[in-house]
Amino acid sequence: MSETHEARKILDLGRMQWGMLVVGVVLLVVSFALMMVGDSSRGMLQSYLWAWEFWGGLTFGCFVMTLLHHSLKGAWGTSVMRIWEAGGGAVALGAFLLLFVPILWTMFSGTSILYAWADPKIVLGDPILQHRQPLLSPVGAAVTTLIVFGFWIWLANKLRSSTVRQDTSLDAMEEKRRFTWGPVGLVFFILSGTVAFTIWIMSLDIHWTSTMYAPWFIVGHAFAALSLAVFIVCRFSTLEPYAGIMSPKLTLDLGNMMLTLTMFFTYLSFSQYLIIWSGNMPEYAQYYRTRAEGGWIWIGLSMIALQFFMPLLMLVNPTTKRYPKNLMFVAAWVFIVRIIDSYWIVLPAFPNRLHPTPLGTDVLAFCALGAIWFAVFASQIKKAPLLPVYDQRLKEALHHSHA
Amino acid sequence: MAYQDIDKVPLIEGDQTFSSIDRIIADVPLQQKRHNKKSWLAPTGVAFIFVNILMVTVGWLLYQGIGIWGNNIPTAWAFDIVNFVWWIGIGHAGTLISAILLLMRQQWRNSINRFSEAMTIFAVMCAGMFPLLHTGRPWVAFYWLFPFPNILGIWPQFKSPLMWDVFAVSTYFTVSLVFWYIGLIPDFATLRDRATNVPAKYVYAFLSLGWRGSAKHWHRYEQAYLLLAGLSTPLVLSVHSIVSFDFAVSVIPGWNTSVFPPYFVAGAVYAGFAMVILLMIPVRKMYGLEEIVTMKHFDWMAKITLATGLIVAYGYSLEVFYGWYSGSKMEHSLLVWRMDFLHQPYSWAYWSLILCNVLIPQMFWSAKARQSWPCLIIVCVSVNIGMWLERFVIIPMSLMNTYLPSSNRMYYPTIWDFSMFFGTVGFFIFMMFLFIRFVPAINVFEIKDLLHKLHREKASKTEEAVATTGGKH
Amino acid sequence: MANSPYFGIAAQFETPEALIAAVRRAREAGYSKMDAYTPFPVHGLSDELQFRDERVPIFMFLGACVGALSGFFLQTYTNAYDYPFNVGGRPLVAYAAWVPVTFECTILFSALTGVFSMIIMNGLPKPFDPMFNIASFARASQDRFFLCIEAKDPNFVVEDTTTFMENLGALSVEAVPR
Repeated sequence: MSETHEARKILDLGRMQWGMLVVGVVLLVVSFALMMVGDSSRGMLQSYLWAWEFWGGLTFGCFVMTLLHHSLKGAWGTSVMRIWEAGGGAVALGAFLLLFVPILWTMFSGTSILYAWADPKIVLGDPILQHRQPLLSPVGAAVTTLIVFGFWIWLANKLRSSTVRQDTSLDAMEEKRRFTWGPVGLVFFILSGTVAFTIWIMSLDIHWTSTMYAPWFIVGHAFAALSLAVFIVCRFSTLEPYAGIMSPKLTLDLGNMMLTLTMFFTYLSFSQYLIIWSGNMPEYAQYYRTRAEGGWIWIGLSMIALQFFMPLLMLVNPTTKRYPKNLMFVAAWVFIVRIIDSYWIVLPAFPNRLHPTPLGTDVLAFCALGAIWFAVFASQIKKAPLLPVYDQRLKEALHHSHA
Repeated sequence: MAYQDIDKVPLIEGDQTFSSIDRIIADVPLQQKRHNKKSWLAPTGVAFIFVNILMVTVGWLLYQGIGIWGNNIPTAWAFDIVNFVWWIGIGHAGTLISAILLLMRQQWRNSINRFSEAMTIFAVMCAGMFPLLHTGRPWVAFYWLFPFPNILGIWPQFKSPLMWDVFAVSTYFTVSLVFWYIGLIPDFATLRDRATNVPAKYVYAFLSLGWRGSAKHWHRYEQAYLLLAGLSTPLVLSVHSIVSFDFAVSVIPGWNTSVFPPYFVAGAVYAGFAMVILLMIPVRKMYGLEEIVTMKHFDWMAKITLATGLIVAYGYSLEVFYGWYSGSKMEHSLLVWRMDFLHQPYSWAYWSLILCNVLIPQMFWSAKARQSWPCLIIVCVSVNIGMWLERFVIIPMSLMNTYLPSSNRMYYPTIWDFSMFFGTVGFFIFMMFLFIRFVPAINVFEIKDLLHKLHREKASKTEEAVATTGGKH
Repeated sequence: MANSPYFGIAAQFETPEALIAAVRRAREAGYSKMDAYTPFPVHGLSDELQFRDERVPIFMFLGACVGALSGFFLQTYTNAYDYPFNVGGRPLVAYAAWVPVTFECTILFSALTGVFSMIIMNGLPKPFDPMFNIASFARASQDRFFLCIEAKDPNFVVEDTTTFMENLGALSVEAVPR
């Protein structure tokens, strides 16, 4: 048994670190240069914000899934936990705090390049924006961002070092402690995230509010984080260490988790839409109105098929969940559709984006931050074994089923 | 009761066999004399008094009209809808326990699912009474509740959430009932085969449909049961979401809130689990079910209560935060109306709800509290009161404070509002006690299955231990 | 042995494992028409009996499709064609507003199809069955596990089959009268 294991190839995700870093830095430098040039500055910053929303959101999604794993302790979660730890760890969060600097700069620039509330002239004529000054002002936004990121980085670091420590010490007390920190962290992440996402993204649509927004946002990014993790596990299912835990039961669990999030995300999206559509109040309905004009509606409508019916029909079929190859396809599908959905959520908020034609700057910013994301991910994933040493439940389950 | 490490508490205590399980559970409805004691007669008798109060109330209501209730424009919905939502919510825990936990392969559900499914059915019955009687003359209300061709040539309006409600609640009741009945068929067969009393044997034989436990039957049975669980899970989410749409799709301040669907669902599960705990504590004592429903079950249920309670608390904080953030005058006035405890008449309802739903349940973070009977009872009672108050704060209190101050009126419930509510509580308890008397309150065949699995796990572990020690020698 | 006075020969076992082992040996001995009776669903038993039936999930899926279509049709026909009514300027066919009822109909049709197809394909309700003719069968719903080799099996010979089953380690072997 052990001989065949040694013969198998071992997965090395850390390899891509330097390549990705070089690509990311080069593209990022180009992006920053375009932000400085008068003509392209506005478009570049808008694209950058969207890319930050998607890749940053993926980081938050990984972080929230880590917290969820430590709260539920499900056996299936150990197969993907290290991916989430690397993607949503302290270093990844820190990187996205640094990458927030250009966005912060627009807040302090006194112009409405990204946020209308950053322009004092607009705020003066708008009582609602004045009312929101404690939160929606350059200083308020900067302070909130710093506090929120500080707390997340501290918590992510605490949990990650605990799992790494337990890998060597095998001390079960670490797990007990994480079981306390997981749910507490989840509560505080959701509360602080609600405020932060309101400032970063929701406030792009000046007067719009929706209480569903933060849960919708968090679940959407958790969905992306789950699909990325499932993709990695299934793509490399023949390589060690994943080959040693791969079983129809594991893929079934991962597939069912994907199915749950598919339905739950659609449920949140649809509920929010139906309530706003039915209420038909100008200040709320304008959100969907801007996203239904000038061709944007086709993206919105296609999401019903691409983000709900396609994954649903694929995932209710038990054969999809039996083979890693099939599940990998669904995971890739969901990840790509999440990118399009995030494009549709962020960019129509800008009055100059009347049509969903992707600009060169969109591609540039997306690739720049994506490369950085994977570089950080690679640097973190190689620091610990891909499967936690202390939790052998998956291996044991497989051993039992063979015996 | 001393504090235990919950990981070490087994799901089934004692040295059980298949026949001992039959003796513990299946014989409860067969030995009818066991029930003729104060512990069954007293609560059932008291509950029956309330059933009579309910019947008097309904009689008077049908004779006099819904004017006997306190609701009037602008507060057109008050106790009736509050109670409807409260009861539906309590029912949801049953479906959640039986369906979602089955899909998640949570073995601890087997001891409590039958009981909580029964709770679902009776709670939905109580819930259904309110909107039906709110129509005043339910027998003439059919043409706008159900789509059937009628001589008036009109159809129900499907853009109204009230129609969605009719479909959701009736589907929910039907599916819960068949799910419950399907689970009961093999147990009725067990009762048929154990009954010594001839009429009882005939009744259980009739109910069991002639079930004989064929492996081929079990094969199809399990497929249908599992898929039914898969259907019930989105169903239960949809039902309370649609209940929340009754409010959310309108434009009343305090109602038109997009987070209502998940927040209502969480609230429903919250109250439901609290109710299961509350009812299970006396029942397991009375019928000696301590070995089947162990501390582990209460610990799990308390954890779920806490988790859903936190979601509900998150909902309250969202309402406050976006109430402030929106900068809308109406939202602000609503917050003042709910929260200003110095000037507003019903602010006590809001603050008691925060106390009952947000503060007291935080006790459940402690494992000791989750295992202490007084704590469990205090928290669960407070959650049920708190969830009732939540619906009171959302439903009539939002209607009392509308866009036009000139139309604002206070709402005061009448004695008939209370008698109707407590009457349904009595009806619910009465039905639960009848259920315990005539139907096995715990799923017999699933407990046998669980016992078999636990025995096998134990056997394979000892085998392994023997193998490893053998290897060392 | 179509005209046998017996429905089959039934053997009683104490544990599910013994029953599964017996089924395997009976199949190896060439018997094919048999059924097992257990108080709870025994994992792996239907595989051992080589019994597979995937019709319930298929019927449920079809039920779901029919439910969705009829829910959607009901609303569209009544509210847009037979009795069009303007509600706050919303479109007559309001897709978003149709979703809840369509969804509920999907679930209702699918659930009822599943339950009824299961009951009907199992041949229930069936108050009388030859298996009930043996007194010990009452324990099949309690704590005993039964295997019955049926008379319609081509290899069925009362004496031989009884001897075969007695050698399976059963607690008792009985002939089941028709």
